[in-house]
Amino acid sequence: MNTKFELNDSSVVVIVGSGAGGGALGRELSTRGIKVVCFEAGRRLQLADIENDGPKMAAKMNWQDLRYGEGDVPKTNPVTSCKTVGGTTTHWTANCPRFQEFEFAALSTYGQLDGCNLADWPLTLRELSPFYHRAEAMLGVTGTHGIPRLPESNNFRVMAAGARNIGYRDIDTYNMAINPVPRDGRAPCLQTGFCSSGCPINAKWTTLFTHIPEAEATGFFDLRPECMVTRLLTDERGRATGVRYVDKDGNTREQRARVVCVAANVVETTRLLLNSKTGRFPYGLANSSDQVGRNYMRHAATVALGLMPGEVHFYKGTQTAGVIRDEVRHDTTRGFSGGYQFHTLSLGPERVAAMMDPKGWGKDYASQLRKYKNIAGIAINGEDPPQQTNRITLHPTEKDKFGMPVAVVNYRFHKNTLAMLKHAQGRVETLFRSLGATEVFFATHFGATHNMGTARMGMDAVTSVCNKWGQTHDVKNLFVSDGSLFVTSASANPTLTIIALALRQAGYLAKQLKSGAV
Amino acid sequence: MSSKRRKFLVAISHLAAVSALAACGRKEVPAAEKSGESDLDLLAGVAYDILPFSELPPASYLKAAQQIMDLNSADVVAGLAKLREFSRGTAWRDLPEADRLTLLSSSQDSSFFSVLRANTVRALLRDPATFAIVGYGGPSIQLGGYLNRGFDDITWLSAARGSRKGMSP
Repeated sequence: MNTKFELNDSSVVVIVGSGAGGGALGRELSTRGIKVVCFEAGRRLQLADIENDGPKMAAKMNWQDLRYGEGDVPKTNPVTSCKTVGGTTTHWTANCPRFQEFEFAALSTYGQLDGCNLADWPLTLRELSPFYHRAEAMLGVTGTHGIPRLPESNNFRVMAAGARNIGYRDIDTYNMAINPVPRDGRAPCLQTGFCSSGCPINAKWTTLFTHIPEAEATGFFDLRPECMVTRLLTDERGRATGVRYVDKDGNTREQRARVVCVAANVVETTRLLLNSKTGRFPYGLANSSDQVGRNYMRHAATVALGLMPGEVHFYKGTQTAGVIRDEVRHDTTRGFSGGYQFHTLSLGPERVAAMMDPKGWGKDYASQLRKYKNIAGIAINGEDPPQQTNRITLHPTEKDKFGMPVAVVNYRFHKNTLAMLKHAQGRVETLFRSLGATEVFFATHFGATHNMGTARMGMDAVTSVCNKWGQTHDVKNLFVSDGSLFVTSASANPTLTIIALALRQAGYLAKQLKSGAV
Repeated sequence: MSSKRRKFLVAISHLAAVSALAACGRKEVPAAEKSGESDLDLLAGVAYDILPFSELPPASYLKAAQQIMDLNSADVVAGLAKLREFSRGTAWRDLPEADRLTLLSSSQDSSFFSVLRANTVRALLRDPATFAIVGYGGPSIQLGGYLNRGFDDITWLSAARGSRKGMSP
């Protein structure tokens, strides 16, 4: 159904972004009969556009516009995110862990960490559980709702065997939004090995092929691809009135709205809020706390490659093929607060070559690369505490083609993160060597795909940007609906939690609309 | 001029002199263009030294060289001129291997080398002809994925696991 709402229809809910948060929220609202206009900066791909080709798909899906990095992130491309209908759900590897109970209460559990801005979430695992439960059903998460887990790949078997060697016990092929069997009109996984380049058979869940078409089928959802929102509009009373955007033909237009929800992935959500300043909101929209853009979190992340004594062919199968959860706990005897998980990861030869030696060449290097088939891969994903100084700002002078200031991502590792990484790297090295690995390679400095914080939730409008529903403290009809809401990062991959929060927000927003509160 | 760049040029001119002397000892010095080696062939030769896979056909290295030519980079133009100065009319592949590698080693911090290296490695590792050499299966969807093509066929693991049982955490 090709629904179109008028630009001056001030009864619609505008959602900026069509990824995990925006797609889930859009589906929820439109199935309740609420009119939604969903803006997406990127274009819409069809299943036939998706190929087993990393560089080609990155060119089709990734956010390529200039961004700068400062500190411990790459100077350009400090973040990997997508600019396409479905957002970064086209790229994700579909890992679906829930947060642990203690991870919602980091401040109470760990105490304040030096130089950090730790806080407890304004909600608990118990409150979010029903929404996790529903999200898992929607996404078809393995290991939940009677859905079997995916089979064990070679890479998983290496990790699991090594893990058992060194005493770990909580190991399986993980909770994945990838079909092991046909479900919900989507095919079962063929283990093609290109999850992050988009799944060409739709075994991996994305909003592109599920929530977006489901929303469209309601007749209440107007998707506008290739439309870049450049400004959130407010009136003299300080209420959001709509958005300004540039359509695919370069025309600048304005869409009126009753409510605006920003789900543009952390960097763009922050950029939009900061760029929408007015006389009434001189520091950016919803930023009376000066917390917008601050507390930017990634994860404590490392990729480790083990050169094993036999062939692994780790590229065969889902890129994430399993998890070890034993280190997901708070135990300061390890020398840091918070926990981390291990999961398998696979990379193509080009990225492996860069990890083995980014400057390597010659005969020895060629001989190293011949061992690609013997490599096993593990990624570490750990809690990264919020710091006020880790923040996304607007470049003072440089602008993009839409006239918006370019985003600058400032990020430095906290010593807790470095201590966690050191511990995790030691464990991975021991794990791989217990199986006879001859070399282990690590990479730590790369653009993050997990972006969190910058518009965090909280009870107090002085120290947070949004309330427990993602509604901004300053502008009642402005919501944030993506990972920007996260108070802390936990050790869990963020997507499932983004979706659970969006489902929860949708119910609240529907009630607010019905009662006339917004 | 950056200090790295200066070091590179110094190294090249030094080696050029050494090579010229060596060439003098063999035969008269040929004119620079005498080898008839095109820029593309020269770059393909260097690409081979950067990532030598003897199984790969010349076409793979020529393709990498073409991608470097297509950059239209001033670094590449200047670097090529220096390589020609160094080789004194001898085709790159006809130079003694030790001389070639010494020159490349001495220039590995230069921006010219970094462009050559990055583009060669990228081109070759994206070349399906290289996949079999490194043991990579590549795109699989057209073959039905890896579900029935060895994604769980690991064989050596039980032996490795057995030998390490009882390791403490």
